Amino acid sequence: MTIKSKRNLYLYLAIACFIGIIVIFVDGYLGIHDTIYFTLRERERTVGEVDYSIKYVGGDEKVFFRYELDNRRLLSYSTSIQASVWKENEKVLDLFSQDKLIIKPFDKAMVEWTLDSEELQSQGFYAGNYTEYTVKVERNGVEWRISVTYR
Amino acid sequence: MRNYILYGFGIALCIAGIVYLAAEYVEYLSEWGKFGCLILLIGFFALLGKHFQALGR
Repeated sequence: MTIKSKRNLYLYLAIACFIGIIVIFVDGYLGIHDTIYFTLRERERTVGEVDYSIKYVGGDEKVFFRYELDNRRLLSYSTSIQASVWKENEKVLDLFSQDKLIIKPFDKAMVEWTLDSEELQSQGFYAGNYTEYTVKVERNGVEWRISVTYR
Repeated sequence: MRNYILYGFGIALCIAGIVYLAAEYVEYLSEWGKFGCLILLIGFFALLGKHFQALGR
């Protein structure tokens, strides 16, 4: 192999590496991305992982949830969304339910619901003294579990 | 000389592009994606270094 062709080979391989990096980023960016935000005591936070914990909610406080679904595909995306409260593997309360949410390509959708401790108590469930509930958010094959502890 | 300036400009643009992508979109990458990017980035700089080394001979 001549020096010139070897030199060009290095350059072509470097370009291939650069294209590979771009492809990995594009692949990561495309798809369906969902994010859950919650507001407690006037502070909005992001639910960082599918198994998350919200600690020490007051017995008279409300937790406001915002679920953002981002369709970064060339096709429309249709899904159902359910949010519910669970205690010891039994459903306690339905917070939100939508059978068909259609999101256009490269568009976002947002749904909101509120976890109200008074509503829990009206169903006969105690919200205080470190009782723990799980808010499950489900959409086509993806389940978020947010553990909420009352103080 | 003009070629070297163009090369330098191209490389600076590539690096700026990668820095922009990393700053904006790295949160969407899986752990394997990040690892793949790291390996490719090492390869990218190593091969560029080899290219310029061969160019200087």
